[in-house]
Amino acid sequence: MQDALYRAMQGLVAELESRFPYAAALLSGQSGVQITDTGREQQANEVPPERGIVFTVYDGRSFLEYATGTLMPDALAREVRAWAAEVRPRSGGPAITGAGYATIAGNGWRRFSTTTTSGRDPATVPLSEKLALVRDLGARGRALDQRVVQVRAQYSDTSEQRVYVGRGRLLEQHVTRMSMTVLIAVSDGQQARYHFALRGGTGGYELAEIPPDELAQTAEVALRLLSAERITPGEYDVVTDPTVSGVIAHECFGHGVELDLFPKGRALAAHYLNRQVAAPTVQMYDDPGVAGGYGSYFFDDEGELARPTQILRDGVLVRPISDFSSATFAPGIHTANGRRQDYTRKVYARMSNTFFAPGTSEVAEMIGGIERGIYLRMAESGMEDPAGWGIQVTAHYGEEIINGARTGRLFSPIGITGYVPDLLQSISAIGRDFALTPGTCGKGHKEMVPVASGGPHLRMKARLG
Amino acid sequence: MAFQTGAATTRMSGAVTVPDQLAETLTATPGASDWQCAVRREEEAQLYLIGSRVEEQRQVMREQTRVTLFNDHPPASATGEGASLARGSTVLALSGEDLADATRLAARLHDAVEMARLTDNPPFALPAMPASGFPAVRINDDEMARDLPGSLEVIRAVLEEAVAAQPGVRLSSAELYATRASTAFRNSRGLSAAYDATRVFLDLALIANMGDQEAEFHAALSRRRLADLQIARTIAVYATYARDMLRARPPTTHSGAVLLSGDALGTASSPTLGGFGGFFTPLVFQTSGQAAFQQLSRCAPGALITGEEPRGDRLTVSADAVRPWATNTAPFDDNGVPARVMPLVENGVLRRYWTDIRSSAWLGESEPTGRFAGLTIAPGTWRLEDLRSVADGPVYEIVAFSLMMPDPITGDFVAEIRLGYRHDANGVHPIKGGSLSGNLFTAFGDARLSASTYSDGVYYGPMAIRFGSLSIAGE
Repeated sequence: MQDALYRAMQGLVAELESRFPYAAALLSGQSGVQITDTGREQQANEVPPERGIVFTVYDGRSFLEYATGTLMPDALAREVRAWAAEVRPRSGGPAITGAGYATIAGNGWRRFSTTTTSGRDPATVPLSEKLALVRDLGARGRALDQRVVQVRAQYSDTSEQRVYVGRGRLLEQHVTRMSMTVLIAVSDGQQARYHFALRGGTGGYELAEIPPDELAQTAEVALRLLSAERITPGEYDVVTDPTVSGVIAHECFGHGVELDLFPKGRALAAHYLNRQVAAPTVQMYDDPGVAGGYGSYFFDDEGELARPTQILRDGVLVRPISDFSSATFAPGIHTANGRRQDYTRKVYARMSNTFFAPGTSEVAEMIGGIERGIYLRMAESGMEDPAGWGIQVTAHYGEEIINGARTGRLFSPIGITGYVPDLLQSISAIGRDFALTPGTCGKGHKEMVPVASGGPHLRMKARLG
Repeated sequence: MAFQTGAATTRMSGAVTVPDQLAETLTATPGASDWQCAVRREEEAQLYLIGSRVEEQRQVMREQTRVTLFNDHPPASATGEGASLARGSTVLALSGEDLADATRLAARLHDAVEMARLTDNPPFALPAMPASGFPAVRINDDEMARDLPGSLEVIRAVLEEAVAAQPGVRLSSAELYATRASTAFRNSRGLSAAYDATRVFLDLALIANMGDQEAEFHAALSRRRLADLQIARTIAVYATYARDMLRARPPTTHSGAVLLSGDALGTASSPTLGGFGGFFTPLVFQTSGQAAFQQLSRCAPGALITGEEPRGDRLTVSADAVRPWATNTAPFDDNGVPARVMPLVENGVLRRYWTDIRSSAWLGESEPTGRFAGLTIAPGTWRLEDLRSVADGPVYEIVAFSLMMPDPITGDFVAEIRLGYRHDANGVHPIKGGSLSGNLFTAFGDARLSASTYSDGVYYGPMAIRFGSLSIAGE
């Protein structure tokens, strides 16, 4: 059945290629399980498969797509041919450049899989074992303190399949993404607070493990947050942990350099290529090839093989990230960042694993150098503003720093806002540590894709509220 | 009023059904104590514009068969303790290949029952066919459903005309989706119903320019029918915002009166996210039976939701699943519970929680209220000009946030100001940047609600709310 489907895709793409300057097909879908246990309710469900195929042509002026959940080869062929019969080649648009520079030798299928390179394949782990893991985590969390009112443990394993046919390429990949989140809610009878721990990446079942000491620390912080205050608004010297550093990278020059925004006039970055936008010590990348990164893949949804893109070099904006369409309209810049939420959605230029490169400073030194400031911890969310270069990042909490030492006084939540170049040019120290955090990225308020963001600790000045 | 309690039909559509053969197979599945099945067929036209140029056109066909299987068994874990029977469930999606092959289907269902057998929850019942039927709701724009790509061309023409009428503003880009969907639902208790619905989505970015300066205003709207996009009026408002962004300055740090108006109170609806977002998220969560059952709700029936006696207006809140043309209106929810209007908060006091079939049973209530589809807040009596009064000092009015995502558990929020206005003795001055922070429940302890109203298709309530004391982090 699968071979017949692949042959049908190849045949249909060949038919389309004979009529149009560009044609391709992408089969996508996923399988896996999601488990949630709150102590009072349990759920175990299949990951929604969202399985379907999208056929793409460039008609000489714009891109056209037909997306369907029909996977029976004969029925699929009928649908696609009926759609293609209504489409005509046109002229007047830019020529397709082929754009990519990652060539693939040979005409055979190239297959990639994370499960061949990592630990225990979660598909082979019995559901009862996964449920036991989640229940045990919840039970241990609830036993930590009598003020714990809920421990919500969420496990997910997803095996994502992509098959690309086009530009002479026949590519198949299976990427397994793991995640485990535990949220510990506490109450003193007057108010509820919580903290959370998050693990995840591409790889094996062992990525779902949250060690006992991390669970205990999560509960301890949740309890300390019962006495957290609201921060006095103002500008502060801050040290950001890798989760906050990562979301800053993601929102500043992740979204800010998505090439599809350039022809729309929606990215200020278009005017700043090869100009200084951050402190000279700052290096920033997007790399879908990071081993174990939650946003990793072997090729993007347009058959472009994964490779790193250096976005900032010594604080200079050197390269945006792009998809095939935007690279067609802005030739010369094609990176492996064409991604779609699923077959029902369009491809856009999207991030994968986005991060600041580590530096040379010790975290203790970075904190020790601050007279009065805030240590920002655990990013919750962020929002981009590619046109205006504003930024919003929310940290779950921050800890006061006085005379180079953490005082234990917490503030929660904390919003970081400002003008992107001001923020990045204020970076005065870069940690030698490094961590990536799994997450989900939207384009505006939609088009969700799995990503990771991260980097080292950073010291900078930021407006907090 | 579309709400009918008597002779409402239960079959509004013949487009899709849950086949009898599948229903019989589900009933005969060993270990399936109960089941429910939803079949949804969706057709969508998508049009992407860069300025006036068509970047891409898409046609999407999707059909989903989603089955939930329930298995009753002796409890094996702490969650099910105290009951003689625990109920487990699992959700699976069946593909065309599954449905075409009886052996494959049986294997899939067997695996699903085994999965359900491993989870323990307190018992709850599935709804039976309601004696009074389902409400007839208006959610299908016949004209749009007849021609999805044609509808997008209509929107495009109106959009381009509306933008052309705005000086100093151009259309950067737009994404337009027109969708028609048919949904059929059936369960093991004999409930069977179906409906058709349409949805239109418009995501657009306007750019204002003055000399070499440019500023963008980005917005997304989702509605059931074309007419509700009100494109000319919407573009006029957003074009004004885009022009004001050009001369907006960062706010000063402020603690005091802040007015939220229009989109700043909205629900940030999205075709892919669905459901709720935005400023009122904590209110929706905290008034839910799920929050109460999970011991995370700060609200109790009969008590003030603000905790203390409010100094300003008291909130009156309903969950409304039948409002005509509202984005989330449907005759029944994901479990087949009939749609209704459910008063939740009256004069600041929680009257009852809204519940799904699970939390209703677990809280010992007689019946579930069903999904929280639309948020209705009774307007107040204040005129907008009074809410903007600077008699007691400057007032900040926020019309758009970058991302308003309050914490549903604590009610705390902090959000960057995308656009707002400072009202003071010298006039009205646009602002952007900085952040607004506070706590939703504390804020409603001192709030004044406008008499004029606003809607984004999910939120129906005051056009503006003035809070007595919130904090702005500015310069």
